Amino acid sequence: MKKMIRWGLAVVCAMTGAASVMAQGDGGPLIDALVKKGVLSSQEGEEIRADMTADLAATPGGMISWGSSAVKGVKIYGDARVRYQYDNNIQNNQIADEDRSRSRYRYRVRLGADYKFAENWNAGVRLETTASQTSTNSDTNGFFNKANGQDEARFGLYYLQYAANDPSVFGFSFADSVQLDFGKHAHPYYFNGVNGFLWDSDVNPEGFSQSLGWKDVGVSGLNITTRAGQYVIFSNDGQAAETAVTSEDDQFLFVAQLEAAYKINSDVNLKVAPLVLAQTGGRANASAGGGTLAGAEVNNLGQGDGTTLEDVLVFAIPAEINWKMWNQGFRGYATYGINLNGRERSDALTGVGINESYGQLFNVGMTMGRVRNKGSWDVTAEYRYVEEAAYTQFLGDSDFNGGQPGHHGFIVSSGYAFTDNIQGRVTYFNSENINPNTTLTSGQDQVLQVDLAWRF
Amino acid sequence: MKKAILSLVIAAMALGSAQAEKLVIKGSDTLGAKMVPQLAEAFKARNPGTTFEIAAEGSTTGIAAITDGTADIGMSSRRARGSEVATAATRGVKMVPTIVSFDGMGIIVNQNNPMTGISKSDVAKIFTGDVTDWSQVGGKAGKISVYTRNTASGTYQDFKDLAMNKRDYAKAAQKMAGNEQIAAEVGKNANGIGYVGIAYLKAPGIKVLPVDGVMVNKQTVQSKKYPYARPNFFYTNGAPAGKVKEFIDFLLSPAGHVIVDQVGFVPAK
Repeated sequence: MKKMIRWGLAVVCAMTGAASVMAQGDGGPLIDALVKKGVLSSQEGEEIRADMTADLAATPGGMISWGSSAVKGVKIYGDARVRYQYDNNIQNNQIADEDRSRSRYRYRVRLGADYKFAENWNAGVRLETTASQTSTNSDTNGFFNKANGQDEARFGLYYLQYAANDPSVFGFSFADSVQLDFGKHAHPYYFNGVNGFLWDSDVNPEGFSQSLGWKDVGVSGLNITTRAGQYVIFSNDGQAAETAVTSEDDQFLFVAQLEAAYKINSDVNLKVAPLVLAQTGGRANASAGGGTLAGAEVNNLGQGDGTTLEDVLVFAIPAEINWKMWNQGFRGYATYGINLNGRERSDALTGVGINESYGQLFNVGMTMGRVRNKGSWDVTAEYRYVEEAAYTQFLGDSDFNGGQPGHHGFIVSSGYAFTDNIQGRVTYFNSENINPNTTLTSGQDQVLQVDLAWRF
Repeated sequence: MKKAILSLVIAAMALGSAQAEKLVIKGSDTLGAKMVPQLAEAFKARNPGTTFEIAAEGSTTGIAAITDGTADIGMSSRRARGSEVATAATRGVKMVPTIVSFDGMGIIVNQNNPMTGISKSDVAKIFTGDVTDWSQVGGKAGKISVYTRNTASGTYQDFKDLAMNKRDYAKAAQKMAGNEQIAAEVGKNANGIGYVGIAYLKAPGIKVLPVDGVMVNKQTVQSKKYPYARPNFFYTNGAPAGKVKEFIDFLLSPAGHVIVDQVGFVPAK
């Protein structure tokens, strides 16, 4: 009898496609009903339930064990992208007839898992193809040699997160939402523009981020969010001080942002989010020897230390407005920023007084449409201007002149969703030097990217 | 001669091990606080060669002990989760449940609380924190103090499943180590509310609220009319055998039922 019921339950679950029952794996509601009606005794019900759970555990899905009962849910996700990329770079001192154009056939794969714990705690890890901090692309030149260093994956994310609504301390509610991220995580800040403009979308900071949010502040529809973060850029530089004449400090990045988002009506909303971004370190101290640091600080900018971000202290105001027209969504956006360390940085980069303009940056752009579900599309046009000492080349969009400041130009991009999960995109970047007296090697840069991406 | 000595040594060892056979039982505080120790004493009286090691630190620890092979019996006031069964299976352990008793999680408040009953909906609202004042559920104004078991407890999880639609407890809920602590705190706090097993419903200073008009007692638990009734389990690796089987058989015998009944649980019949 017990065996018959067990098989009967399995057949019923399979025929009805009762996903929740199967996912539960123990046919619980059906067994409960049979026990209540007296068809099964409680003990028989438990034995059947245990057998079915054990059977499910023997299936490929059921064999997955999360190792900890604290894990309440796991979301496994990933995406892949193939890209054709054409680069044409013209250098300022280019040899006559030199052709610096190239075609590249690239790909990207990212595989991640988000773990949900009880009580508002989450964690995540993600592996991704990556050659540098600002890129997740690999070149497809491993046809005959898979050990060429291209087909490698590294950790792009590893984080622990606390996220809660209506948080309180000792019964005192201080915000409508809170989110804390620790580890290597997606940055919480608002930036606009293609690829994030001031914060390349492939760059995930390592450190600690905090966000607090308040809804309907003063007036309905006005939401305020504050964000801050403390990140390690480069550590252990001090090792060199023990034996060398100069030493660099460990380098850190600090960011603080205040965002005001206002929903005027169901069709129109706007957002303004001023921020301060400061990178400390990137300097060298004259050493008195014996590991004792002394003497005046010496700016090490321009010393060829490509591992540092160098000093910047940027104040920027990104903003956007969204509206609907002709049944389409539109977004107008812009950013203005200035590096308060720009003069010093410019002198170190190009020589004292060489650059007349050095520390300002801005972008302005518009997007029509939005790529989401099958058949949806978007078109974006953006103008971008970043003076030579205005920003760090290691944080900004690496596709616009290699992320190197000192250029201005435009970007056009358009995407289309072939299915809900498969998208195509074409993007063109065109940039040139702002200052004709620059010492930058790159003069003009054109990049064409044709992407096919899919999520799973 | 040598063979004879060896045989004597082996026989002596076998006799010694038989005489000192120990059952290791770990898990639920609900079962391990009263019921199992009293059953163990009665069983020992009938089987002088048996000793018991009982550790009652929560159902989760009992199920883990079977998976790890560190206990003969895992006491659990809740059903093993699919993930626990799967983990056990990957280690070659087959979790076999035996229902040893039934229990009801009674809703208790301070004896001075004017409430005379409560609905399932209000229970869920109170324990999830959707409601924080007694006046919101028809009581006398006062901030509700919620007392729950700790997260290792099977009762903690079962109550979430049965009473709270699997939602999280209110942030302000205070987690207690056992039934007795919950009853004691509610007995001292005029605005307290908690849940305890049938065996703890007679603690001083508390009163029990009927849920949707059904009072928790052995009859309503047995008939499954009480909404927060649940079975209690012994988990073993494979079908019970040897001394483990003897102990479980004793628990399920009329003599065992008397003890189960005396300590406030509903015997599994």
